[in-house]
Amino acid sequence: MRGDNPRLRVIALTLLILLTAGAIWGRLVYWQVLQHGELSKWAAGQYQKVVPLPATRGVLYDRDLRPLAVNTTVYSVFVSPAAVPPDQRAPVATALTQILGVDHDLLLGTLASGRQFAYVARRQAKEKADQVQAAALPGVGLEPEQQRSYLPGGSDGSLAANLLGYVNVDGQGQYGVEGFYDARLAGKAGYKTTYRDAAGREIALGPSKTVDPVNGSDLVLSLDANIQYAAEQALAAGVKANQGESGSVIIMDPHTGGIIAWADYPTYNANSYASSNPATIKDRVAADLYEPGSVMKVVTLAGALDAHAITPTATIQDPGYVDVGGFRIRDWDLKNHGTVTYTRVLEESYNVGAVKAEQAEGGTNYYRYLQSFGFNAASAVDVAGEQSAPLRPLEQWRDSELATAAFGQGIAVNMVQMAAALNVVANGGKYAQPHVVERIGGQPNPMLGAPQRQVIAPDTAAQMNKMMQSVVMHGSGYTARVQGFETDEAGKTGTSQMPENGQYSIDHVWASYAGFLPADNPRFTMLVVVRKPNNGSFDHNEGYYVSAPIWKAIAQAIILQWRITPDPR
Amino acid sequence: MVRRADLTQALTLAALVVLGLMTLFSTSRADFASQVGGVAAGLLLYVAAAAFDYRRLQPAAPYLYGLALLLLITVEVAGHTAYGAQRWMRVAGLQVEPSEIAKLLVLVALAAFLARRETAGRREVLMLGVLGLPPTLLVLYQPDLGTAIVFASLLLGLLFLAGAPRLVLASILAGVAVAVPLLPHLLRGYQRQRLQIFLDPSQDPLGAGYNLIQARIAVGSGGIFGQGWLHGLQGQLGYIPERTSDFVFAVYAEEFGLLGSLLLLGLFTILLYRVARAAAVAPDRFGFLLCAGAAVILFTQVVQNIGMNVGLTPIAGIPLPFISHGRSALLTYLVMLGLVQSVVLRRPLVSPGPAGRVPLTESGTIRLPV
Repeated sequence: MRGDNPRLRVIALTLLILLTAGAIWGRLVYWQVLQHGELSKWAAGQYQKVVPLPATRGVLYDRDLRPLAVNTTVYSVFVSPAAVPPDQRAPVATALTQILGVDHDLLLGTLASGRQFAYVARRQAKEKADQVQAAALPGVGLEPEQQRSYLPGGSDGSLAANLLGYVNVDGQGQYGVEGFYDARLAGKAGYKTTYRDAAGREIALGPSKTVDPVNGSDLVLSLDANIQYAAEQALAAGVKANQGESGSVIIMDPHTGGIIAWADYPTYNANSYASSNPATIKDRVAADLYEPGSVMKVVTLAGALDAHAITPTATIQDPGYVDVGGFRIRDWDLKNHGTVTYTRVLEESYNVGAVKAEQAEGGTNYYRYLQSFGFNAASAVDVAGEQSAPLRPLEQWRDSELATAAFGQGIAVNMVQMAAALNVVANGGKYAQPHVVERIGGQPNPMLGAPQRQVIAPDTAAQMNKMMQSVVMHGSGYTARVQGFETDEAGKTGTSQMPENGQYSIDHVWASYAGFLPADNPRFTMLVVVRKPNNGSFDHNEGYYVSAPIWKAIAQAIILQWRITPDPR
Repeated sequence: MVRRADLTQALTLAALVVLGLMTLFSTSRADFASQVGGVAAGLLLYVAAAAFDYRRLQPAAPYLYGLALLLLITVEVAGHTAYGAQRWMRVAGLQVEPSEIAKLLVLVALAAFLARRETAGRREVLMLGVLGLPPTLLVLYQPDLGTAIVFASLLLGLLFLAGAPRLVLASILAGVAVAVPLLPHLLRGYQRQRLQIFLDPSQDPLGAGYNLIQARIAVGSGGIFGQGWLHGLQGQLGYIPERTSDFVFAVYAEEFGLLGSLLLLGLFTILLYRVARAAAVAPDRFGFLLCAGAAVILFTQVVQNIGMNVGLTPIAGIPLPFISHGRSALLTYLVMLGLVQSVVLRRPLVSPGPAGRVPLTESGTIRLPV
């Protein structure tokens, strides 16, 4: 070893060993401690496969258990461009174009992209899917998906489209009942974790976990599909005949508050919501505020009767106008009516009479009755998107504002609120909670447990009922008279001017008609509103002319459907 | 005589063999079963080699060297190909990997040659090169880069320990330093690819980089305590390639974690230390070189294998001693360590001290090494 210290060589080797050992240990600590979490996830990602087990969405039924919205299986066609050999791209694109009618060049671009996954066409019917299957194209696959299907409606949309809403591609309920009850309808998706070996085979190994899906609850609605259909037909015809911008109808069960029909026109098809005009998707019954006009006189006079401030036969002087807080309020015909009873006031819809009734009971009483009739808060109907304008505190109301509110101007409500308020008269003075869903998954809807609140005395309700019958028999409601029920029908017309640019428009009105039938034992309460009818004259845009005939047509359909007979006299 | 044996070495060895069997049991029952047979035969050979006087190998060295070349040439001619390399041949129904056996034969031959002189001059260096080159080139031609690296390390290590002039060693290292950058051009297609992938595995995550990435995921998901024996899913589900041979460490590290890995490395360190001690107490130069060469082979194999499992060294197919499946390799290492025991057993009771004097304690008794 020629003077070379052999110890040095051994030490050098030992150092080399320690250095390598240190490097390996360092690397182990780095991977197994510092990067452990990330690498574990990576590992789980390649051998664990989570297969979602989708929950089935609940079905919507009408009151007779006719399905309104059901689930059907459709097929989405996808392609794994990376799995299509370059020389197969053109034939694959040509075949798919022939079957599905997709854009050939766009598809070729997708195929050349080298991506792992791309949809070619979503939600195709089974026949198309079968054709794709039969073509046996490389890299092309089918993915079954659930799609919601709705019945055809009475006009140009699907049945009760604005009430029910729809379910979007991601399975989320949008608008209406689908939106309101989305969580209950959707249920809870489950999943199953399986292990896959390197060859992609499923292996019965390791803690395979299955969480069963919880299917969504079926809903039974108070809706009657036949009446809904008839209401849509009549509403569409009426809105078109009066060249209205739009119209809505809501029909309630007087005793339970259950919605029998709920329609908007124009409407949309929930089966093809994506290609619908977005403006037609919105529901206008609960989500639109309007000034109810003379229909509100029912509430005003009922409150004054209940407060014993007036009687149906009490008389007032109506010179055709009344001055309140520096404003002159006029009757619609601008005429002097002399001495009139409150029954006559309602029959002929005199604004002066309504103002005097409100003044007779006083602002405080009047305000209290507005609250009690349900205008204080949203109706809480179980439909997504309800809008309401809470009443301002009484101190903030000027006398003139209380006066205009007495005949339904300067107060914004939605149609559910208005229908529920009128229904108090039909329901013997009690407020019935408006609602659409009767049963959720076999259980009664929990929102219906509370007892109905007495808004006005049963006697008052009976008095107002008589006055509303008088409207049909002797007053402006004559256009709503249903044959056979002429003396057994209660109603009230309404025409209200739309506020536009800070003042009330002459040409643009809400034309409405509300009523129930048979009067003494009501089976339904119905409110019809047509927006911006355009019949050329102010008189022909009024509720009695525009909306009452629609009300009548729908009432006839209900009478036929339910075989309603007039009360024996 | 048995009381003089290196019991620590034997116990460490046993622990490694048990860990190896456990890992194979977890990944492949078939490989486990065949390995058990190898262990049984290997233990017999280990004891036999320890009993055998290693000094009788020295005169037989030229024949052993010839046998090594013969084996390597035979496999080239008559062997069969697997994983892109002609490495195996069938002898009496058993799969034999001659390059593993050749490691031991070449070690004995080179140690015997170097032991003829007290030191290694330029002539010895040259002769060693002449002797070492043929087997190295033969395995490189298979191609088996891993074994070639082992041969090259053995050559360098023996020269270093045999006392070759520093100038010579320095020039060899300089030559290697020049050759390494040229390596990608000298290597065969798949070897070059492996080197490039080593430098950047994400280049081809599903192809050649797959092995490295899967090993990394497996080692990493082991964490500190491991997934537990039989519960390493990366290994169980076959995501780790060559999981009973080249990448057995990844399987082990996934199931036994950082603590298990440190235990394994600790066992190898103890074993290396024992073999180095054996070299230190060897009664003659042949025994010294035999043990030192065995240490170099073990060290190179362990570092190269674990290094590639943890992404520190390029992938060059090489088994992890005692752990990887492979009876030829297992038998070779056991015989090799048996010979190391043979050296230990024949160590002198009195060894020369640093100054060539016999160290005596004050009481007059002789201080024994080890």
